[in-house]
Amino acid sequence: MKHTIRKKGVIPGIMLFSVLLFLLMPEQLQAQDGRQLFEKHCTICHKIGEGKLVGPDLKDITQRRERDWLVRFIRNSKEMIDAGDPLAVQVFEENNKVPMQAFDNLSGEEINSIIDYIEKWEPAKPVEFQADVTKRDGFTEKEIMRGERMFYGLIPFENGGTTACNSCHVTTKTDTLNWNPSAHELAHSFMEEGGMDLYASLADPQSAAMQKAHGEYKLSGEEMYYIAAYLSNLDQETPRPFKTFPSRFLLFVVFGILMTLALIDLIFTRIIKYRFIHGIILLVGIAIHFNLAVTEAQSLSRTKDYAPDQPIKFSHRIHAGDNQTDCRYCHTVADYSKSAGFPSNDVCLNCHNVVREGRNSGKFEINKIFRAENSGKPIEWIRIHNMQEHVFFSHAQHVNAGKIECETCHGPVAEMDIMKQFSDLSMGWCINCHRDTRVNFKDNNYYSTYMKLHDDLKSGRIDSVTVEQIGGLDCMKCHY
Amino acid sequence: MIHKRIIRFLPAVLCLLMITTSCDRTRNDKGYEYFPDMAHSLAYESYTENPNFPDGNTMRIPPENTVSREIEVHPYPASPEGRAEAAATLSNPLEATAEFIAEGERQYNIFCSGCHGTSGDGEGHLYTSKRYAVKPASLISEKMMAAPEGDIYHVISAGYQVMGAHGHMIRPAERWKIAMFVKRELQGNTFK
Repeated sequence: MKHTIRKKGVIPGIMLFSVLLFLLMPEQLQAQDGRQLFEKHCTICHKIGEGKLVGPDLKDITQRRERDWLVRFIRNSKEMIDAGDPLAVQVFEENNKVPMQAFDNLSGEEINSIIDYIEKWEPAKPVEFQADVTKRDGFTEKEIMRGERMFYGLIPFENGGTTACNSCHVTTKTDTLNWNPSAHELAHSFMEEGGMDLYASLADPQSAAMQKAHGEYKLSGEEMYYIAAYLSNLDQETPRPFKTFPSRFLLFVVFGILMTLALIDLIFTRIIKYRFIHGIILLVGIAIHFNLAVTEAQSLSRTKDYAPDQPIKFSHRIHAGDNQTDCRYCHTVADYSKSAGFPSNDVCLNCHNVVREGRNSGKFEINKIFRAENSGKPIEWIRIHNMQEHVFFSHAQHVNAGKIECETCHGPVAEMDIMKQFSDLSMGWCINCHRDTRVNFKDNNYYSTYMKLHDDLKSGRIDSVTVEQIGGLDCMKCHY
Repeated sequence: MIHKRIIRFLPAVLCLLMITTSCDRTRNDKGYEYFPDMAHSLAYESYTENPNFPDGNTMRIPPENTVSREIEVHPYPASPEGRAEAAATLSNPLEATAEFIAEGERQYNIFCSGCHGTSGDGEGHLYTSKRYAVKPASLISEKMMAAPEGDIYHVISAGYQVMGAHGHMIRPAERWKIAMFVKRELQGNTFK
């Protein structure tokens, strides 16, 4: 009996629900649309309720201006100014005479939905949720455990989406490029002072990349709370290191065993009659062992192919390759200094004050720049190319005076997502290049003094050259 | 008994030890060093941590109200008033030579052409590839044609609107060379 009653209740329930959905959906979609359009087209120059950016603050704009006028102004403000519309000219004058970009690619509906969005805009409310949304620590063991299970996809979310979080936000270190923040990175930026608002970004994905990945997961407040509990705990743990398969080592061991067996058979057991088989095994084994020993010995103290995880997933392929930014736009001091320099936050912000969202990583990585800028805590980039202290190397001498291209030593940087050490920076490598490189005496002013000395010697003006004349009294010749 | 057990386990333990200390490296692993006696600096280097300072950095921020040697202060703000003032007061201390203009072109192609375009029309690669959403200013517009070199120098140094300050990236002399190049080459060519 009980079952039948329940079943009867289910069908009308579903119908009612779908009718409700049908009624509610379009308006919600439209509002969503307006927000997306606003963020895509307007936020570069305008803010709502946070003051003037390039253009004026748009809070309560619909009360100050007619809707009709707004639509025309958004479509093409320049035309209105040229036509002498008094309001438009006034706005133009008030904003340093910078005309607003024309948006004739937007339909009337789209512009209206943007205006609707601005009209209905309210200051961001904290996400509705009973538990303390600012809570970052002091979770109980049970809450952490439950959060961990959710993170690993063992407990499905109430509103659908059973995929494990850890399939994208991995909990181990990886050797390949993963644009998604790892679980530890999430945990760290959640727990960091002024860090990510986990509750807000889970409830309302901020970037296109995250909307795409998180779109179908609508977590309830309670679920977010458990995930937060897990992440707060994870921040104290160190990620498990990534281990490679020891293939070279196994090769060494296998040939060691084969050679021993061959020797034993050759001297004692004599099962295989043809002795050349022993010979071949021993020769190949020795060759492989020596090869391994030599390459390993050569790589001592050299860090070729070292490509550490940087604090921000900065891709040289995107910046130097796709965006065609010159190396020296960011590494400005390479022309003048010993080191090529880590770019300061200000250099990043030259572009990223406008570009606030990455194509691959959403806002997660770019937000780290803003966080570092606000907190004053430096971004701890890891230096990859470390010249030994007993070697003097100067970028200024090579880049500026010698006019050597960056790629000569650093390899195809414009193709590297993860920057790695391309050359082994060994002494032999330096010397080989110094032997082969032809000095450009003709077009390079740096060497003009040598040319002058050469000409003077030839014409008999001087009979010899002193050390002083070739820069021997420069302080740094001895005191560097 | 105990001896036998130890002998049985020994190879396994040895293998495990050798595998964990194997020469197969991940990309995060720097590998081993051989007598690195002189390889690492004993002195603190520019970018290394430094326990002697409260913020832990070796590089220091100059004390307040001081100016570092070789730094040329640019006292004009990035506002329109500052720009007008700078344009009226600053003048190029360098003489226009072909060498300086060529150097200006080199610097322009490093620092400016990404946004403002190689011909200065504001159609740089970053904008045309839709990676940077704000239309960069054209350097060959009527407004810029009328602007003196000091105006260009000021905008490079202090920035203007969404353009960030580039004064910390380009040395003063180089900024003047860029201004010289923009005035004499980029804008000059459009007359022809």
